[in-house]
Parts: sequence; structure tokens; C-alpha cells
Amino acid sequence: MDIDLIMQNVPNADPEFVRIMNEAPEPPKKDRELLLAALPKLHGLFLAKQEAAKRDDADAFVAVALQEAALVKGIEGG
Amino acid sequence: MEQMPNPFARPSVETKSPLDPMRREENLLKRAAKGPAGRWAVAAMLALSSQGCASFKIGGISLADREAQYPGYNEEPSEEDEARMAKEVRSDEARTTSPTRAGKRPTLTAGGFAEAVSAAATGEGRMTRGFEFMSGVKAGHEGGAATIGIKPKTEHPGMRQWWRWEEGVYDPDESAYKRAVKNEDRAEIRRFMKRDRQLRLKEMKTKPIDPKVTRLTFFEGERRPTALISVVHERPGETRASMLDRGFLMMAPALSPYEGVRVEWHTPIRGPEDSKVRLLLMAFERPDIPPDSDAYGFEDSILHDAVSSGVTGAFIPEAAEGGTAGQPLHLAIVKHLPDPPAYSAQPKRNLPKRPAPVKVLTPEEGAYQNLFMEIAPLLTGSEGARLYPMRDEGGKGYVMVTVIDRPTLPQKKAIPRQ
Repeated sequence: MDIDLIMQNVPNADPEFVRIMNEAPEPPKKDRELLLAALPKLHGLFLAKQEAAKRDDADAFVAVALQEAALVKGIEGG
Repeated sequence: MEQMPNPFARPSVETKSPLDPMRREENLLKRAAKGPAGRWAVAAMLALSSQGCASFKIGGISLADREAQYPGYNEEPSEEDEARMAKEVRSDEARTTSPTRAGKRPTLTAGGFAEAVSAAATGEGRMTRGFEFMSGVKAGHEGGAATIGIKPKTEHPGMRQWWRWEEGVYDPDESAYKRAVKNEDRAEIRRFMKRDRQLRLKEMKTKPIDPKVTRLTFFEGERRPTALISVVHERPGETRASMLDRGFLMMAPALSPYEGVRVEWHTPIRGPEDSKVRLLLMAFERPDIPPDSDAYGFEDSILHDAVSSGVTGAFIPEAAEGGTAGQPLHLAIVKHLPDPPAYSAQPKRNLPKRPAPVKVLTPEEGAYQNLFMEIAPLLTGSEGARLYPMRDEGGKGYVMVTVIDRPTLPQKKAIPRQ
């Protein structure tokens, strides 16, 4: 995924987030706008996961995973 | 009445390993994803987990620590294995270097720095690809100094396919790999390692590389090493830390598993861009040459090409602190060369070697710049200095400073500056 695209959608993104997402393939064309709009949420959840990982808090991590699942369902629902 | 524990109870299914919360995450997400958009989001989430949260530690084991669970992976190959793997590597279509030197610690020869960088970048030779350079930039003299932390990416053949783009599922081969590890099937493990290498080479070929990153080929005797070079220009109001971030993000997709990056700051001393700082990023291919050979010519040839390509500024002596993964790497500018240094046209191998002067200093904490400043006035236009933090037998630290003369590179045609 193009760095500029990531930075445009997530200003002040965590460098780790940018690096990982930069390795990602481009989003499917059909859902491109939808997925780009979801990037900030993805970023927020990533930071929360990182925080949970830093604290070695499995429960918090899984709680974030539940939010991720909700986000995925939201994306699926358009 | 106190209840006795049931000796026949099934083991708790609570998380016992760092993989479990991530497995739960994966299961949750896989159930949620139905269409391509969902699968893309899930793959991204899993990648962010496995790569960005590798420090996750449950039961005292982090994902990053899991390398220890793959016996044989870090093991020094036998001579027989080494010969076989070298043959395999040579037979690869793509350019690569033998990974068999990877497990060795960086040597403190003249070429030690490049090896130290590569070894640090690859996690002491664990063949992990890539790394993160995050910077805290100290105020310094002239071009300043950058402090760069090298952190190995926590990928290895066992973890590399923790997630897969597009599918977001486990790679079935991963379980095969684990089985091979469990059975201590060395041949199978090495097959996975080879596959991993080939996959990365394939990735390298298919991943679009930023056009600002240039791959150059050099001639070193019979070798044709390559290096990536990229120059990042300062944007108005930009900090050096963000320049570093931007540069590395640009460089990272172009890296092979066997390359490490060195960073140099340049402040042009003439021309219209006087006020601007430029950052030169160079990725080195791990020199696959005998440790006792004159290895530093490789770095110098890169420098020569960079300078000839119009990158004004200095050769920057450097100090690799330890050369251990996760340890910071200190780079500093001590000197600016007004012009590309004059190199002798005489072939290197025919010249008598001059022993490099060595100076041993006792460092103070964080005093590398001072050491460089002490050395700098002694340098000629074609000399650079290196610092090697070392420890004596009693564990007491000291720094060896070597000044390296490099007048012996073949003459290359310099590109006139704009």
C-alpha cells in the first residue's frame, strides 16, 4: 500500500503501522474507499493492541480483537 | 470443606502461550470476514498483530523469544551443510549471498562495520528480514549525529507465515515446519529455510520499489556486490527523526534478507541547497568474503559511487555499539570532504597494504562524538575512522579507533555536480 495514501488517511500514524501497512497489497478496488476510511480505526485498534501487548495483557488484547471483529462486520455490511 | 483439586481435570484452556490470544483474534476475525473487503481488513489486522505486537509476552515467552523454540535455526551449520547451502545459493537465479556466515559474530576487521550493521539488522544473523530504525537525533557539530536503534523484525521461517495477505489464514506449511522442528529433522528445517529465502527473493522481484531507491552494482575483484542508495531531502520544517522515518519506509521494501542499512547525514557545503540537510541511506549486501580479506573496500566503493553521483558531503566514520540486535548504533559526522577524493587507478590487490593506525581510547558514556572530534583533525581527505566498542577479558569496556586509509580504489568517472 502506498505510503502517501496511508499518511493521507492516518495523519501522525505510528511508524510501525505505516511500515506494516506499506507491505500490504492495495485494497480491493471495489471497496477501496471504504477500507481507506477504515484505516484510522485500524490504526487506533493497532495502538490498543500494542498497548495490550506491552502490558502482556491477554484479556485486553482479546477485547481489542472483539472490536476488530465488529469493525470487520461493519466493513462487510458496507 | 476445602475442595481437593481434581487430578483428572483437563488442563486449563486459558492462554498459556503468546500465540493463544493471537489465535483467538484470528479465529474471531476469520469468522467475521466474508467478502474481499473483510478479508483484506482481517489480513491487515493479523499482520499488525504478528509484526507489531511481537513483544507480547504470556507465560514468560514473547513472540520474539520464540526463536528459541526452533532448535537448529540458529545453529552454526556444519562445514558440509555450509558447502551444500553455498552451492544452493549459487544456483539461485537471483543475486544473493550465502547466509552461512550469518550466525557468526561480526569480526573486528576493517570490514567489521558493514558486518556489524548487517548482523544487527538481521538479528545476529537469524536471517530475519528488515528492521526498524527509529531515531533520536542528538544535536551535534556540522551535520549532527544520529542515534539509530536497530531492531530485528521478528520473522523467521516459523513465524513468517503467521498471517497471509489475501487469505488471512495460517500457512499449513507452518505446522509442517513445526513438526520438522519437533522431530529435529535438520534437512527439513533447512528446506524450509531455503524456501523462505526463495520466497523473499521472489517478493523482492515482485514488490515495486520506490524509484528514488537506486541499486548500484560494483566490481570488487571477481565479485559484483550491489548496494541500494537513496537520498532523502529535507522538507521545510521537517525534523531529522521524520526524515529518517521517511527514508527507511522508502528503503524497506527494496531490501533483501541479507542487507543492512547505514545512514549518513550530509550537509552540502556548496551549491544552491546550502541550507538543506540530506540523508543518505545505503543498504549493504553482506560481504560474503573471507574474514581476513580487505573487506572495507566494498564500503568505500559505495561511498565513491555515491560521491561521484553528486552526493556532496562527507564520509562518515561510524561506531557500531556492540553489533548486537536491539542495540543502538551510533553514527556521526566528523568531516566534510570538499570534493570527491582522488582515488588511485592502480588495482587494489597490487598495492602494498599499509597498516591502519590504531588508537585505543577509554570512552566516557556517550562520548563517541568527542572521540571522533579528537580523530577528525588527523584525517586526510581519503581517510575515515571507525570505532569499535570492545570489552577486555575483565569485561571492562573500551573503544578502539582505527583510521582507515582508502587510496586504492580504481578510478571511476565522476559525474560533474550541477
